Amino acid sequence: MKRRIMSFIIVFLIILPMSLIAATEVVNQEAIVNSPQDVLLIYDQLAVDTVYRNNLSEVETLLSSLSQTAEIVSMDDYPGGRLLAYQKVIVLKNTQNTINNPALIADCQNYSGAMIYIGFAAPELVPGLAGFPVNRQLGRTVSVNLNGLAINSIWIDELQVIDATPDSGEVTIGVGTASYPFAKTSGQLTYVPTFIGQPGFTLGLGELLQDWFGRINSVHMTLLIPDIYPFSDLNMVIETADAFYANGIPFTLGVAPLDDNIDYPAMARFYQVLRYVQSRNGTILIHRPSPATVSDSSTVLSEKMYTVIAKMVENGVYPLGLVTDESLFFDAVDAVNPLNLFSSGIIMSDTSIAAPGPKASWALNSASMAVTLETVINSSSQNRNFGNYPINTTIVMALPENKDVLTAQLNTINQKWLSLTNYRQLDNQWTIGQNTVISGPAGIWVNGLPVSLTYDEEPISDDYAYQKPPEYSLEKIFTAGNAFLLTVVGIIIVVFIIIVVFSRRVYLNKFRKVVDQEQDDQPVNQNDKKEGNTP
Amino acid sequence: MNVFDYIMVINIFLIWSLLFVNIVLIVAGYVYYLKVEQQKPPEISGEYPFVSIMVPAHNEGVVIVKTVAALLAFDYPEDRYEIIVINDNSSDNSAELLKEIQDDNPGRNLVVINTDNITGGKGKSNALNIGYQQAKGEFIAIYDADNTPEHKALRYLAAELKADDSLGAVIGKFRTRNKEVNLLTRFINIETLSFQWMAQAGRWQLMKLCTIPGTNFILRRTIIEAIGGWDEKAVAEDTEISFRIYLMGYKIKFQPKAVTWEQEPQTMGVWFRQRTRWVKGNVYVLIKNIGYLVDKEARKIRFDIFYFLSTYFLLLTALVVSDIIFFMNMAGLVSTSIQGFSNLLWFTAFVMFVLGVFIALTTEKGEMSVANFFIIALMYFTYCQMWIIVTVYGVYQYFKDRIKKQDSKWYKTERFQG
Amino acid sequence: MKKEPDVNTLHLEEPLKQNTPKIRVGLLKYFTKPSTLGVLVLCGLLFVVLFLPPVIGMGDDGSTAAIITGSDLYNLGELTPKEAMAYFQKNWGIMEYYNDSDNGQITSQTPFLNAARNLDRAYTWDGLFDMRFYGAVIAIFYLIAMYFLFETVTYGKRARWSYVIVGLGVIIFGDTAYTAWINSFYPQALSFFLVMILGTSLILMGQKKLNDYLLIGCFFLSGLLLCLLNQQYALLGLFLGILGISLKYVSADKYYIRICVVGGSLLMLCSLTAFFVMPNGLTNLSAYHSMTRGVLMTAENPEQALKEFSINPQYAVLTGTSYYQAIAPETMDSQEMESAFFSKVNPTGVAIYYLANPGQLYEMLNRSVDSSFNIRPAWLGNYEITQGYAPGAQTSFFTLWSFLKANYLPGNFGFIIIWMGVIIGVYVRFFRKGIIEKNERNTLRFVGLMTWLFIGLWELYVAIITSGDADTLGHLFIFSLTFDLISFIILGKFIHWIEKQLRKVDWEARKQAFLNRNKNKQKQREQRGYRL
Repeated sequence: MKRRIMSFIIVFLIILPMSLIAATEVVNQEAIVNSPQDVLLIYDQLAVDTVYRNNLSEVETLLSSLSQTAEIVSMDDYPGGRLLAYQKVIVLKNTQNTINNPALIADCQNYSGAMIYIGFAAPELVPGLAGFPVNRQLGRTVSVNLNGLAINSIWIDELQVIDATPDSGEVTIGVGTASYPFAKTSGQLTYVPTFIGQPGFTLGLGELLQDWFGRINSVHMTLLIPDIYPFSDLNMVIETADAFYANGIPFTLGVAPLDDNIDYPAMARFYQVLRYVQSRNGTILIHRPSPATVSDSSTVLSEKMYTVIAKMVENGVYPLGLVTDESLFFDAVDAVNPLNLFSSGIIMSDTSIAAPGPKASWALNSASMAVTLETVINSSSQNRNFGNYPINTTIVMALPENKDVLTAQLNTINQKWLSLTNYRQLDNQWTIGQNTVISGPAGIWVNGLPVSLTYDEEPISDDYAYQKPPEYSLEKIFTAGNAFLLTVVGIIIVVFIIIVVFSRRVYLNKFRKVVDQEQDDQPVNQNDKKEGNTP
Repeated sequence: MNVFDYIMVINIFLIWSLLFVNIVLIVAGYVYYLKVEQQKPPEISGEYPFVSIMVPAHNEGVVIVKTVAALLAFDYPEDRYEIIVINDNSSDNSAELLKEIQDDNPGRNLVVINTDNITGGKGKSNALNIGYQQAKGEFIAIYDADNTPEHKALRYLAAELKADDSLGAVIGKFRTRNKEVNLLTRFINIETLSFQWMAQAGRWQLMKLCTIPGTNFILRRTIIEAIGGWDEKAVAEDTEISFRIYLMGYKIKFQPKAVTWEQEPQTMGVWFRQRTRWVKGNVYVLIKNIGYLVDKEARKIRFDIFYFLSTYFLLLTALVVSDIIFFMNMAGLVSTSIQGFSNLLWFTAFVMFVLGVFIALTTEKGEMSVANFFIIALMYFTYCQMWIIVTVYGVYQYFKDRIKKQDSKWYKTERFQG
Repeated sequence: MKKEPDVNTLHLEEPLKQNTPKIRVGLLKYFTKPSTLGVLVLCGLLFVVLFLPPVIGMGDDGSTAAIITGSDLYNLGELTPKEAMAYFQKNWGIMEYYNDSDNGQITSQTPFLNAARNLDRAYTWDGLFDMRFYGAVIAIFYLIAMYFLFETVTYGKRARWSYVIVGLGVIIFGDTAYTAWINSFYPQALSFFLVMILGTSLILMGQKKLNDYLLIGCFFLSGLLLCLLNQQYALLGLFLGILGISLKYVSADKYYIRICVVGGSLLMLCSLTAFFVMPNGLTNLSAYHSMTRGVLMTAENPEQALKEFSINPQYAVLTGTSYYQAIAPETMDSQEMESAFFSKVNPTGVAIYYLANPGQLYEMLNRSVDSSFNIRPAWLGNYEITQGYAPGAQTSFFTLWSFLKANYLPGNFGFIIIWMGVIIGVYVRFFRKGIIEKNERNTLRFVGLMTWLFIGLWELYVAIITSGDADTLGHLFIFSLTFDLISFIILGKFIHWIEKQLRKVDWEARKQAFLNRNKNKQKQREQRGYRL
């Protein structure tokens, strides 16, 4: 017993400074948002009708996943001098079109910081590019080789590679038996000749960027089942949670934060299921609501989100991170409290074309990039264990429609020997409203107290009053008056019935008598015989 | 609680209190019925008083012959009563018909006064005033032109009045002659019976007051003399006379054994006009005499004034206002938050109403039937609601006339053949 | 009824006419006639509101995409869907090349759109379609409809009071909340004047105002166009067809009778064909609202209601939400939503549900009437984005009536019931009179009003079963419009009545009576003293 208390105190002492650190981190994060971004991203065009259409959003996804903030500007909109405020610049050139912005060309000549140049070379902009020997090939099936992992069978219409032998430990592009480096660095300039919005290339660029930003974190891989609504197939959610639990697979559930009717029994049932999922090594994450569904002000949404999260915590559901589409990062999401208060999240790449216009992003403390299960299937590992992609990744797997699909997906995961991390054991923390939630290898703490994630079923009452009954005034007086009048009227009715019964006797006596008395009272008129006294 | 809630509460209180007043009257009326049943019919002691029977008639050709025949057949000494028919500004063949009767009964005291639109045609009160000039009797009896009194009706009325000097007038009972015609006349039949047993008998039992019903009543000549004839502005001359009699300190007795049979409206239109006239007349009398409500001298009639006031203004206002609030509530113009009473209470109150009316029916032969029970139930939803409309309309008409300064017209009730 | 006021005015007008100098030209006289003057005022108003910057119109919620495709027009895509709703878009694209996409939908809007497009091409050949050309086409018909309407209430008289009535008409139907629809591709633009012409042509026929053949033509044409507007309007044609056939009793003319029978049958045939041929056009948007803003919102227990539709009761959490706000668009489009929710909702099912739950229907009627009194949905903006107004901003220029209607009229069905009671009470005697006199023409004024009433109530019900209280299909607009039309006619009648009453009053006598009042009082006092 004493030991238990001791350990409790120790844990508490460990936690206390942690939350302090975390708090300062939050402040830092906010400070970062206001300061100039980590990197400037300049792109020439969206190249809507080409294979390069996803490039901008993929780069944006990568930056967000690496927790880097960025300012993004197109070459046409580029304001003179902007470049010189940065130490790191990424240039994305999706077309061979010439550059018409003299301010940009002039600034590039004067730029001395680090630069990654992606896509079609434009030596008139960056003279250093002319030094890279480029080999152009048409219609090739290539593979991207990351460290120990290869993503195979990527069809590419127009491949440009740097004609050089790759160094060991470098990302390479394999064409048949030949192998080329994914990128080449010369001084401050790194050149990526071919980039298409495809997971292999994105992950390759991810490795490059990770090194470029000097982030040498340990990488992890998690699993996400996204888009879970209160009206999703909750039985399947339980089924899946059980199966994953049995196979020792930790997973996360992306829950849509519906903000209406959160008192309904249907919602209570939903929370019940989420609690069950938590007891099965599942972690709850929250989707960032789509801005298209947010009608007018983000303050309204913000208020609603506070309520939703408070309600979840109240119901024993602890969301630990945010799931968000890449584009939403650039939609002033940081203005939407409390979604920007999460410390971690998963960035889903957007298939929609990135919207034009200059914009700036913000970053989560730690993030991971979503990859599809298909990408994992297409990846081959040199070892029996799958290992990790070069950056933090999250495998996104839709909720299985039925048991067969579940079994198939489970087999895929098992056969790949994936080493998945429990999201809950990563360091996550947030303070939203009255609640502070912290998670780590030791579990989840809510407001400084550890919480048990064991599932206990609570009965949900079905007789919820959906329609509010109208309120009445003077209710007591009227109820009393009602009872009083009922009694009085009841008595009167009884009296009346007695009178009627008594009357019947009088009636019978009387008219028997009258018949005897004869026609004395007969009216005069002959027409009125019907009124006569014959009974 | 908003202002509409308070109005509703007051309404509910008013409606229920008036309901209970009427319950008391029903019971009192029944007690009087039992009392009368025990007694023998009144007999005249001594000399038969001379009675002048006045019959105002305006275009009554359809019914007048029958009426006069019935009056001539009274079980009363022929030389002790006279019949004065005031054929008031008639455009039909009434004059000829009356002449024929006169010729057929040469020895009888039958006076016919024919007027035109110059000498008459100014309504019932005026006609009565004209007839009164010719009347010789110490008692004056009045019958409507559509009445068929029973043989002994006059005898009973005269006997009662002669026997008790404190009585100013004695009223008889009237029954519906044409109740079989349709549902409306059945309703009226039930209405007249319950009205007489409840309002007339009940009030007589409790406070020796009745309201003269306009027909089948007898009163002292001295009273007419004292009040200077009938008020020609009054459409409801009967109610008006009643008030005057109370004020003079006399009682008005209800003698249910003196029966007359009356023809009631058979169509909605006629019914509506007749009742509107009644309402207007009663409102006139009420407003004319409203001052007595606070007059110490007139304590006796306070109840009557209050009774009329409650029926025509308080109850009516309560019903109309609650209906208006109901509609406005429906339209969302106002919102009331009071709960109201339970449906059970409304139902029991309805049962109480049906039984209360039914009690009055048990006094009459042939009326105590299951069919009538259901007709009463139906009456609640139809006839009673129609009364509300009539009352509203009548009160409205009254004030409209007041504002336009028109003298009330006497809409004669149309008669039906048969 | 018509004769009475005519007799009265004739006496008054006749000497007046003789007094007017002969110099007055007929044309000037025509233009100063109340109805013509009213139309001229409206014309000016429309010009300012719809054609001069800032151009007023309605934002686009995307529901008309299929219809404009049918006329080779397309959304330029300059605005995001959210912005498109919040701002009016003046410029649209014209497809330059032949396109064979099947997405296009041909409705009765198509000829109007085509006319506007050709008009635009006659002016500019820039591949852009200026919405104002469409607005102009619609505005012409709108002005004709308004002329008809003014004619019905003024009886063509030049009395001072007629100007008051027409003025009221301008305030009500020239309200920008109404006219803004003219600058939009929504069916509201068409139904606005079609419904008007439909009823006024009947009433005018009853008043023997214009040529019978012209009016019956207007009636059938507007009826046809209305029921071809989209599939949900189609069944209205059955009713209008039956009405059209029974119009044959109005005139003894052989050709007229033939036109009625043929036109009526044709209308019924067309509406039946349209009902089965036209795509039902009900989007997930309306299906969603028919449940969440209808069945679920008013249900005692939404879960129970969902079970009756064999939908997962967990969908109860969407109770009361709007399609635009509840969940992400991706989810709405998801296969799961489609199979678990949308596929199980259809108007027939909802209609049956409401018949089984009349309490909920009544509650929905209440709510729908309330939302219909907002003639402009709050989420559609009036201004172009270039004008720099906040998203969804709506103009307040000339919106007195819509402001009063939205804020001060009791928006619930109880009010409508009382309102209907009053209208039927006032007008039914003309109908009765016409029937008794065997003069069918005299019944037409009542029939015209009742046609509006029927259309209004029908649309109210259709609105409820297809999209709850969120009027995403323009049905509630028609209800609101018919309410205004009927009220306006009644108001016109009332003003005429007042005028008649006032004319009857002998003002001089009143004045004398007032002056004599004190004298009378004194007299009365004396009399009273006498009595006492």
